[in-house]
Amino acid sequence: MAPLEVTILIADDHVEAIDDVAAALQSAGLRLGQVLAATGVVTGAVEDAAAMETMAAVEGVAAVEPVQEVFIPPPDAPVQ
Amino acid sequence: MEINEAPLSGGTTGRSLVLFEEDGAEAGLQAVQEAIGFEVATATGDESMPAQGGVFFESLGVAVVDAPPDQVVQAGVSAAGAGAILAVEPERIVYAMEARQYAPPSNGHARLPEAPLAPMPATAAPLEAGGRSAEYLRGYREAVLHLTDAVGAEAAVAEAIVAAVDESQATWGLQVTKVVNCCRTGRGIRVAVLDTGFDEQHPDYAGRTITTRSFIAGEAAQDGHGHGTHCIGSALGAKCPGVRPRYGIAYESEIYAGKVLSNAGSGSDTGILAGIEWAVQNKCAVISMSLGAATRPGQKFSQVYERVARRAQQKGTLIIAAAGNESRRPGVVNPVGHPANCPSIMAVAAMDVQGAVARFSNRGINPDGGQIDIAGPGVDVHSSWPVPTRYRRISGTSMATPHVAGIAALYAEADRSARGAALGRLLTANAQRLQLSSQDVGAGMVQAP
Repeated sequence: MAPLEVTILIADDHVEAIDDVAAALQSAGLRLGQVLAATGVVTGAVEDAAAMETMAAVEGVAAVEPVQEVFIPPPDAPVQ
Repeated sequence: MEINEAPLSGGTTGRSLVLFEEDGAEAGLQAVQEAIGFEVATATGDESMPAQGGVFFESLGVAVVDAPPDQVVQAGVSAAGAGAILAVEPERIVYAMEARQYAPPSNGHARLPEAPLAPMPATAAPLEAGGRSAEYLRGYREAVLHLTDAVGAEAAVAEAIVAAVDESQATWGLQVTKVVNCCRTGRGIRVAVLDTGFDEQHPDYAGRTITTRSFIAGEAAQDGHGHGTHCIGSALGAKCPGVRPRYGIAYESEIYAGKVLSNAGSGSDTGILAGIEWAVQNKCAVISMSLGAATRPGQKFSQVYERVARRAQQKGTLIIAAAGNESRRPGVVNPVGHPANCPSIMAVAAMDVQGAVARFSNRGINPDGGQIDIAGPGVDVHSSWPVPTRYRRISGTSMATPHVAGIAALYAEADRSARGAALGRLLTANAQRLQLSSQDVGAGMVQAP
């Protein structure tokens, strides 16, 4: 099964310690992508939807959301 | 007095709608009666149109009279009617709600100063008398709303529109937003455009301070699509481009071009959030994001983006995003997309040169952040495109968004203390109010300081 890409919001009171939260997320099974310290977000991938619950339970995590894709029309489209 | 030609593709009845000045109904009605030679009765509520004359709807300040507009117009020039009659318009045959093409009436408006009392065009055969029911009155109400809208909304922007159609020196968008009259340049302000990248070889950007970064694996920041170069053009393009007209707003700002959409036009939250982080760390005052994903009615906003946008604001960065192009007005309107639907991200609607909402522009349908915040020029927008094409004219809320972002940079330059949420409030507080639903245009058309 393909890994599920996620964005993880770090709680306000844990943004300062985001690296510690990222390490805890990795221990809980997160394939770490990036640690975005200024905005307090960790990106990465988990095995499945159930693993999102596991991530949400890690201390310092405020929210876990599946990654959405965005698209714009091709270059020759009149409305973009 | 305004005379509006029938703007809908449907027919007219041969009767006229007359809109009176608020305190001029009595004098205006008298003048109309003299002009058509019959009495106009005041509405009682169970109307069936008299065979001759007409009916006056007191609460609306409108009469429907059984005479063609060119005859009724005579009342407007008589001593009694002058100043009392605001507009005369042919009554329309109104159909049940379906996707009839709406044609905005502003062209007729633009001609009014030269020929305010020109005869109306020939009208269609009148409806047969009798049998007018609630259905008739519902249709009639729509016509009245249209007439009052035409006088109010269109008049509000008519001046700007008339001036705006000449694009030899500057695009219509820079004219209606008053950018052409503004002395601010965006100097010292960093603006990030998160999009398909940027064509650094474009000659209009020679000598500019440009920082690029790709968040797309395997692709350089060079714009292989065109969308990013077009958006950067509107927000940050040159004052004197190689080829007129001017299309860029904050022409002395520092350009931060983050590539979060691939050359094929796709991207994901992972890259977008990394791009926002990059812009915040680089102290960009404004992030322009002409991207998004469609949402459903009732869908909640992303908690991740909302908190990120609030943290960005606290660090001095305002995020502005496109409301989305999923609507097909007048029949289909869809809600503001992700992530513009976050309360702390400004959602931008698109308007056309005639002051109407673009047919594709999404609406504030979902509560709690799903509203439109402000509108920008987003139809027929001329801007830069990667070489060798150099320039292109396209439409979208994607094009409206960088107009708001560029103007945000002007406000940021003018008021060094206005950052984050305060900068957003400056944009909405100074927008040009429109006689259109705030669900469609938010605070109105963005205006330069």
